[in-house]
Amino acid sequence: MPFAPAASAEEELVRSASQGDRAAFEELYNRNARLVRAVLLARVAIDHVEDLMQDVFIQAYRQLPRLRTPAAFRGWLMSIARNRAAEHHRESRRNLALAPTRQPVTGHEEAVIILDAIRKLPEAYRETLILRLVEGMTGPEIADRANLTPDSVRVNLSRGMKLLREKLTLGGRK
Amino acid sequence: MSDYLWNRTNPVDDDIQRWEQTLSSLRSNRRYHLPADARRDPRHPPYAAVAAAALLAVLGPLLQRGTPNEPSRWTSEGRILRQGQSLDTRQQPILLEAEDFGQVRVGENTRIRLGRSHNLELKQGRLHALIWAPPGQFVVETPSARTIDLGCQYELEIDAEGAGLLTVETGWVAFEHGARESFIPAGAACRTNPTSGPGVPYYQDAPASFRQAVQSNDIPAILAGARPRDALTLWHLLARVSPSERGAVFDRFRTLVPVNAERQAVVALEPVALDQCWNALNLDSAEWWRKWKRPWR
Repeated sequence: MPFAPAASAEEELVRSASQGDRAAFEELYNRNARLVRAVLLARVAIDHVEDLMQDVFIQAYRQLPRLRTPAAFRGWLMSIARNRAAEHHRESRRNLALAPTRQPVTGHEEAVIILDAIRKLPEAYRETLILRLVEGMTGPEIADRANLTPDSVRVNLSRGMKLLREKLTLGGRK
Repeated sequence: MSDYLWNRTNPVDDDIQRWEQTLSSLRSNRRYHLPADARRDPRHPPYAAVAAAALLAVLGPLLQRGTPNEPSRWTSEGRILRQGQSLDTRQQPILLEAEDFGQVRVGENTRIRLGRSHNLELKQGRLHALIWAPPGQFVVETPSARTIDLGCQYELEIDAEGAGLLTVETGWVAFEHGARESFIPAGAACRTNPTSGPGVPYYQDAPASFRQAVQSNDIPAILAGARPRDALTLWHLLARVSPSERGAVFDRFRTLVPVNAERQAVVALEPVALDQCWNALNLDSAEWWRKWKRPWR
């Protein structure tokens, strides 16, 4: 069980943070920021991601004392992030007529095009591909960090990459 | 799948390498810090949430039943469950999940029915709820009481006769049936039965003799065995016993916790006096209780 010591250390951080230890929570924040960022990047435009990251972690900090099982922390945190992204879309639809459309981030045009292609893939593949291609994690790291089995990660990467190649190639942006 | 895609070992896949180099520009290496003003949720529910929960309680079963065949907010093993759907777990426990709301673990040999929104009806069996939605939004109907989550995790079990036991692990739960209510804090439990509704809550770390006295409603034994923190139990008894017994309950109460309330006012169940007694428990201010639909109003 190669990841057991890390998981156990994180559970200890969760226990400390739930008792009000802000430093422990900031450590949890930094350990899991890439994971949460990938969840958000899979769903919302990149120029909203940093704001939403902050929202997700503040919500997690507020609600952490209610989390019963420290080992469930990452799954719980990812759920908060997915929900915050969905809420962001609902807010965006409400504000569509009022708010000006944000411009794409300059200097990242090609990256944004690839990211948009990933966002058009089936949901199951998006987060895994972003963790691999944006955050630079390997398959085993993704399995560990996202609480997925290595087989699931292999399938998501393999099928997701096949679809991504088709999209980018057919789009003439290979 | 290429080894490069799996763990970045050779041979290099040119497409993947080019895309990851391009996308790496979107990485963030910043260190994150909690804003200095980040605060924990208050221990007691916000007044607005309590008011909403009270409204929900008044509307009662009309809101609980749900619209048959509409999707519910719950999923189980990735499947969306439907309002009005009944589940019988038999030998296989199930986990209900709602990303923005919480998790409910439904035990073996348990029958539940899904109501409107996130509400559930527990007909028989056991469930454990871990709720991270705001207080007052999660309601479980049982044959003998309604449980209203006030921001917590708890376990609820109901037997074949409709009698039940609620055990609160964190936060608070309101347990109500008709005009009778109990408020159960973390570490406490409360029984309920179909004829009389919720009983009085008691701390689980109380001596067995005290818990037995609560279960059998043996008032003299409850008064004799109460520790200072068991004043919670005595406070709930004040409104449940006859006027002739109420004075004795209050006399014992004030030996356990210092309180300025007038005996005569407590015996008359005057709201201000009951609030003073509640505040003496040092659990939370009485104000949020008063925002609830108080039986002593």
